[in-house]
Amino acid sequence: MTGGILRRPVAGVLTSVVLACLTSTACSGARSEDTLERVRAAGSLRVALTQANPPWNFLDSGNRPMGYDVDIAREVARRTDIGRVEFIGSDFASFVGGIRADRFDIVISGQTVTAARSEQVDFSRPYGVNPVAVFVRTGETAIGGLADLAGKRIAVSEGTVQADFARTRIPGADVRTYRNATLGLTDLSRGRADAALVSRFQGVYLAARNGLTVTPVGPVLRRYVLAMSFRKGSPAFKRAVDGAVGDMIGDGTLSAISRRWLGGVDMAAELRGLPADQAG
Amino acid sequence: MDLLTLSLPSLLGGLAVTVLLGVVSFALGSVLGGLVTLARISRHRALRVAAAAYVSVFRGTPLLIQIMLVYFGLPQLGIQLPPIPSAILTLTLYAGAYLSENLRGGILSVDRGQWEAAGSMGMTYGRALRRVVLPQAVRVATPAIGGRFVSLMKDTSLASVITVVELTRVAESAGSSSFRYVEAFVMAGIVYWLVNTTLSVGQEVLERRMGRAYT
Repeated sequence: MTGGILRRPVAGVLTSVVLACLTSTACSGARSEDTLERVRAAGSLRVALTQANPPWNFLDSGNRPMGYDVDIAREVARRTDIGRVEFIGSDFASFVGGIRADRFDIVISGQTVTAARSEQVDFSRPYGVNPVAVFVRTGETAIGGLADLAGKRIAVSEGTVQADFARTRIPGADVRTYRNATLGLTDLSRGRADAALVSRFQGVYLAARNGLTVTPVGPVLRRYVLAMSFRKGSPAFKRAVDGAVGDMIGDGTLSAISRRWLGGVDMAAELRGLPADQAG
Repeated sequence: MDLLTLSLPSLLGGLAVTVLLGVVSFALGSVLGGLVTLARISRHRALRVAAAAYVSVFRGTPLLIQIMLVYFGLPQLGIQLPPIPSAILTLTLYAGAYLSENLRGGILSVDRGQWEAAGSMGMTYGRALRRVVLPQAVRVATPAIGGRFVSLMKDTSLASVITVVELTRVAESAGSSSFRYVEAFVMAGIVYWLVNTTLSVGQEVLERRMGRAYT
């Protein structure tokens, strides 16, 4: 029987491969060298972003990555002598897991620095500040701000600080999670959610550019500090990225990028205004 | 490894929604699939063509596309359904297409002689179908239909992308807030497996009982 002759060596090879994986880190993706050596050797920086949260990062009509994060990512690669940037579409629910599983080298996607995330990944020095606001349908009068959200249908993206906020701070919230904030805002405009917690820049941008009938109400809820995240234990990579961000703040590049994408805002000035414990 | 990353109430809540989606869509899909099967073996050409086109579209496109289209696309045409009805509608249409193929296969497996014998006894088309052909066809189709039910139970996980808080969404939420992805997804996987193992056992019991009359 040919099956019997073939099966045994195949099973033997499979067994030894599985054993090798279990007993070493060869297959685990948890590499020991600094991320900087790896991306320089590969000649390419794998950048994860949502590709769906304008004006932070999104795809234009020609499917090209665009936005604040995209311009920043290209500058970081240029200033750290990494030849190429490879953009990888992902989402907030996968960013931390993706870094840990070595699916990409760095997340540059408007990610907020939190204590819980900092236990899993390392963050660069801040490169942005994200004001999050309550958005409602244009013409909505029953909701004037955070205090009116109890028991309401709240649109958020899974894995974001806004999702945590809605679950822990809004009593009785019916939290609706979307793959990205654009889908959440779209559903809000159609009446399948009562409010969305989202970057003020993004809601205003989509209302202006895509004609979504949504509008911010009340004061900005929180101003979240944004940074880039990458694998722990890469001090050289962190130094290189921090250096690039610092240079961009210093030479006006970051201000130029933020003025282009974020409605004329000077993000370098915002970053200088951060309290010392958040300034990284 | 702490498997309690998922709290019991949220796990049970997700399970309830998953079972609701699977059972309701399977029941409605069976009715739809039966009607479509009748249309496919009908003497009227228009019915046959329409039914074949429906089956072709819903079997030939990804369920994820169908779910997104119904939830995010239909409102553009003025048809807007809440999340759970959107999911049930799509899963029903999807399951109906497959189930009609399973039933059709069962009917085609019944020997032509059975139709002819029924006819020679004076039975009408409808009566021959009901009394002679369908009982044999369903018995042949049962394993495939049971398999379809199991698949549908897993397919309900795609409803998570349209804000339905079912088992997969619960697991993803727990994983992304605790970063304990292994625990969250393994736990959800075990629950799906338990549900489907129960279904498979039920199917075996059913098959044995249906086979009894013929042995």
